This record gives sequence, C-alpha cells and structure tokens, in this order.
Amino acid sequence: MNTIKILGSSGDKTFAYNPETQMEEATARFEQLKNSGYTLFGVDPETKDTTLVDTLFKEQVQVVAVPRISGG
Amino acid sequence: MMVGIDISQFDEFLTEIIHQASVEAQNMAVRAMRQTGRWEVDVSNSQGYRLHQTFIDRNLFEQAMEQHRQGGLVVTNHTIRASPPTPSIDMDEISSAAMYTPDIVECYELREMPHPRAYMGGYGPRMMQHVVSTTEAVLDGPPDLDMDYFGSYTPIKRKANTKARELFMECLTESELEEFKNFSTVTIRTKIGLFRVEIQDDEFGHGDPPAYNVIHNDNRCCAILGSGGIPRYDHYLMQVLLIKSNPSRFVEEANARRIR
Repeated sequence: MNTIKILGSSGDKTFAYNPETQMEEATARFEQLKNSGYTLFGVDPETKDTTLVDTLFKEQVQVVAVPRISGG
Repeated sequence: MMVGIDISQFDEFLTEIIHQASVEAQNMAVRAMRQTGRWEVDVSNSQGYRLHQTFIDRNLFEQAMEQHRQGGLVVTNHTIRASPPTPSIDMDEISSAAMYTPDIVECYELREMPHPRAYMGGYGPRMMQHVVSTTEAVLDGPPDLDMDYFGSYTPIKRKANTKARELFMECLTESELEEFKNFSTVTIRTKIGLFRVEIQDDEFGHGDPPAYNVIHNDNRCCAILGSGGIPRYDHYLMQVLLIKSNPSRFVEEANARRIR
C-alpha cells in the first residue's frame, strides 16, 4: 500500500491506497490537497531521499502533505 | 437497518478504513449525513461504550465485513454498528458530548457548519477544535483529561506531538537520526550550503511554532506552517523536507536575521 500522510493539528492522517487499483482516488485526493495550498513531498522509505512532488505517480510509496508554509 | 458485527481488534485494514472515513467525513461536512450511500458507523467496546463514530462509504464497509467473514480481520470484543445516515443532527449534543465524554467522537468539518456558540467569548472555537482533535485521540484509546491553564486538553496535544515526532524521525536518515538523538539538531548539506535545524521539544504541548531555529550562512532563519495549532514536530518535519528537496525555496520562504 502507498500512503499520503497529511499533517494537521491532531498529528498526521494517513490516506492509504493500492497503486494498482485506487490510483484515480489517490490522484483526486492529491490534487485536492495541492489545490488547498498543501506542499507535497515524496519521501523514499528506504533511502529517505526527498523530492517536491507535483504529480502523483505509482512509484511514490510515501508522500507527506504539509499545510501552507510561511516565514517564521 | 442496522448491521452489528463483533471483531476482536482493529487490524491494519480496518484502521485504514476508519482513517479514510475520518478524512472523508471531515471534508464532506454535515451534508454528508443526508447523502445516500454513506453510512454512519459506531465503534463500541465490549461494554457497549462508544469509542468512535464516523461516516464511511457503504462499499468500503461491506469490503471490510467481507474480509472479516473470510477470517481476514483478526479478533474481538469491539462492535461495529452501521446504519444509514440520520436525517438531522443536534450540534448542541455533539459539543457537550465531546466536552464531557471525550470517548464519544464525531468527525465533522466544523468550519462549514459552525456551532451557534462558536464565536461567543472565545469559548466556542476551543470547543470546536476539541471536537475535531478528539477523533484522532480515540484511535489511540481514551485520553485522560487534564486541563492546562488555558482550558485545552494537553494530553491530546501531547499525543498529536508524539505522533508528529514519530513521523519526523521516520523521515530522517540513520545519521540524521543519530545526530537528532544526541544533539537535538539535524544538519543537512545542500548545494547552497549547510543548514542546521535545531529541535526543541514542545514539552507542554502548547503547539507554539519554532522561532529562528535554522542556522544557515551565519543567519538564523525560520519557515513555519501557516495553520495554527500544528504540533511543533510538524514544523520541523516541513523544514527538513523543504531544505532537502529545495533549499533555495526554504531560504525564499524563511525570514532571516543576522546572528550577532
């Protein structure tokens, strides 16, 4: 299962999906988050390599969605 | 029509469904109750004490039950009860239930349907925030109530912060994790130089964002998450992820001041 971890006030919520069967649903969720101002990062669970993600692909096993960023 | 079924514990599959349902329910708002095809779901323990209530897609629920029938779901003494959505909702009842019996949980997008008392004397919004946050707390078991000076339930925030800390650590490499554990810092080498993120525990769970906790080129700078009430470790996680993936954007986003 691939996951999108969405950060929020009560910790992260996990949206888990099967990339083979639920890609459409996951993409819709991904787009919804993007349109709400979330920044999405792909994190490789093994190497911990991190990339900014603009489009959701099956290969992205774990995506972390963070709310809008501002200067501290 | 009610469907009752006993299971002994939430296995991963069912937990995922509950998570998904929570997210969906929040987004769908109270209107979702009247929408056909969505069911109201109660999760109770063996004493009939309600642990969790949410809305779930009927198909997802039936999938879970099918898996249960085939022996895919392990266990127990919890009961899941599902019924078609009720036609109306008493917001008064929800907020008082959430205030006095935090095990009873409702998951709603409250911004779309604020409580009538939401804007009175600063008392209402806190209550709304509590209603939302309890949902997560219940997944980890009933929270013990302990009010802080500001009337908020610190154990819940502490749980959120612990959860955020776990995710933060999950996203670090071994060497970064080692550094974090020993020195409470995470150092990241990038094309535009070295960044050192200083981590300070939010011991009391007040959720204050960090301030100027990143050191880069002799400057202290900081970028935080715009939404309020976010666990501090979520800010740290965002900083680390953004620095690793696009350090220039981090510098653009961050306010900086010179170290004297």
